[in-house]
Amino acid sequence: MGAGDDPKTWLMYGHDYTNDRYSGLDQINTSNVGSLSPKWIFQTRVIASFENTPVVYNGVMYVTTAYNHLFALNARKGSLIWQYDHKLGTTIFCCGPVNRGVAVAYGNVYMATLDAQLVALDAATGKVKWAKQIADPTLGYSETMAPIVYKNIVIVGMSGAEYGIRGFVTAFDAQSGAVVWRWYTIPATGWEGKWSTTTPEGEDLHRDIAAEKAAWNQYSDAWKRGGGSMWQSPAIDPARNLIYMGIGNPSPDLDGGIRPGDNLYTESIVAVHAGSGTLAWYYQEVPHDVWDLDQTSPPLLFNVTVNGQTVPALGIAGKTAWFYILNRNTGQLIKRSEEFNRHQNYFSQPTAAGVRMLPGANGGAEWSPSSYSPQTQMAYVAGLEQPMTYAVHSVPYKAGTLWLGSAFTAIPGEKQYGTFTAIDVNTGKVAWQKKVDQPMMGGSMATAGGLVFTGEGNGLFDAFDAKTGEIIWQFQAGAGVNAAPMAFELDGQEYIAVAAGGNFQLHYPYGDAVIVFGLPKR
Amino acid sequence: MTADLVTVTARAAVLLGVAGARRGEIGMPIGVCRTVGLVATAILVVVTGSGGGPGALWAAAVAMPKWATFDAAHHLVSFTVIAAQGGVNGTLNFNGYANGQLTVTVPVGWQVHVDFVNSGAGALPHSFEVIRNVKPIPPQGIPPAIPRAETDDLVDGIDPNPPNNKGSADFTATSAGRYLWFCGVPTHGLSGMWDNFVVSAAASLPSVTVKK
Repeated sequence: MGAGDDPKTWLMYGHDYTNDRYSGLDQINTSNVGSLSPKWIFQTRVIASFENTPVVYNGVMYVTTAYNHLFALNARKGSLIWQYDHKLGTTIFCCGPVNRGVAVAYGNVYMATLDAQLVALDAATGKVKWAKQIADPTLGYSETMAPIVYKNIVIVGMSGAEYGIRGFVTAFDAQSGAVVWRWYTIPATGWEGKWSTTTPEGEDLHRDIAAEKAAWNQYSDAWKRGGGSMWQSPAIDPARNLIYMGIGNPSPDLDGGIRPGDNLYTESIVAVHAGSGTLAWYYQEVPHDVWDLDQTSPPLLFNVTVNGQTVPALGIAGKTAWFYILNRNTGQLIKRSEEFNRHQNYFSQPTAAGVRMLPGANGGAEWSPSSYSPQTQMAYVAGLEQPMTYAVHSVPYKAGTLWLGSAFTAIPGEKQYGTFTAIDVNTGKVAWQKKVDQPMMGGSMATAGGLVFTGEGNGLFDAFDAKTGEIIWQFQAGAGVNAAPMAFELDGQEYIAVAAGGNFQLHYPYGDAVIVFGLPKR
Repeated sequence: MTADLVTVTARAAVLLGVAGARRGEIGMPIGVCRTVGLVATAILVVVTGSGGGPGALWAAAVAMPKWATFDAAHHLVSFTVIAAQGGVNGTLNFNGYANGQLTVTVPVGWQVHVDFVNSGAGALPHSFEVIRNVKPIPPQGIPPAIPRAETDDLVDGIDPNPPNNKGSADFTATSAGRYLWFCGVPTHGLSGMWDNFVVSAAASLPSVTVKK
């Protein structure tokens, strides 16, 4: 199997190792997308939050649903080939019983499960070849991300930082399931970092460093419960043999008083050597986060022009409502974009009474993957405006219990809405932005047809002119379109596929449909 | 401790029957030794009957939570149940109580009305139902043990956004036994979002117990 750069296929969650969600197919384009219509619909009968991006390989589409059901479909007509229903053990998870997808390689399909297993199935039959328990789900460890296969390893992170886990990323041998290496997102030493008083870009975090240092001895073992989820699939640069990932919030989310220090490597973009699982570099967006501003949206790779030179770059959309562009050799910031959602009262410390802040705990950009088009050199970011009140009070850790350190709450009467933003990656400026009625969660896809697709919570599936932002096609899917779409080609025909099943976090209408669109037969 | 409470409550009911024709906040004693000081006062007043008449008795018994009211004459009891009231148990609580800290007792045969509110704290959906007192705790909502003792969207839950979205449940406490108040959203019960609910043949009036 190739590395996923064949435009006819969609081999992994983010299309290929760049995670750029760019399909090189152009049969469906700005001139004809108006005639796009459903070709087939598959209903999973799992009516729950549906965040999957299907994978298509060798004429078979692999779809996962909430509660870890996995379907292999004939990609030509949507008929079921086989189905695997994972027998879930104990599961504790914060943000919906979701799964985002599979990896396909070596004749296997790999799915990570809510009860913290990695399961390898025979791609032809759906029979389980092996299953490995990654961590103890009774402590809050769970899996929602799509694994990625690179060379001989399957890469899987962990969710669960709302429960006081210690996060890690594991590379499993793709054939045997043996652990090849493990990298902890929370280091045993050094998680206090530099005691940064500002973000790397200079915003005041309003930390009381003296108080934190005074508390250090009392909470010196806080790293053992330090959090650091990896919610989404990494990007990989084979030329550098590096894995790039976004790491989530520290535990407990809002109570920084009992976890002094910068809490490395939470709220960070990190690069890890694929061969050894050792850290290459990190960039911490929010040291000592107390606002649940975890880096949940996955990274994507592209090149940018800096002073006339082409620089290999990594881009990532933050809950912070900025798009970060880093040099992927060094991790140094090339540019931070203009804000794609408004900032108000930002980085105000939570109080017992509560403090208002914008963006809130859902962002900015939530887990929604962004896309990038080399045609426009723009990244496309689904974002949301949802002001929240942050309150804090200290509670002790209790194994397997939600451990937020109090609560963030949306504010009654304050307007909420979604944004879909095109960001010029060379300048960091907002090229265009569309506002939609509801906060956006799901992600996007760009194509060589000059299009960018995304979905809305109200069931609309949208196609925009990638260059101008003009909306040129919509389809009402009947349930929230809260998953990132994909494209593939079969028998000379291009198809667009998207899951329409709503969303747990924003309570968008549930459904169970995978809808595949195409043009009328010529 | 709970048995003592039931005894006290039943005896109190005799006295409160005088005042109980009134409709209003439940003024019943909250039992259990390890509870707030006002409760002990209320129990003492009830048991000794030394409150100076029904009016004084009623006044002395206001330690009962404001989220509970009843009409003894018509055997009606109402609860306002707030999901995620503050950060207790990571917001997975009913009226600030979780993991069985709270025991609500109603007499068998009474009509129960629940106004359910998702405060929005923690930005999670929640639901409410009455299930059997089963172990292990179910991973998510199951059919209620008492018909209609559930809010809509049991598994999906009531949206936390905007805060204070509401649901309700109306049912008759027909069968005596031990039950649970339970959130049917996946994993919330496992994480402690449950409290005790007793339908008692011995109790004459509703009562609420808090275990510290």
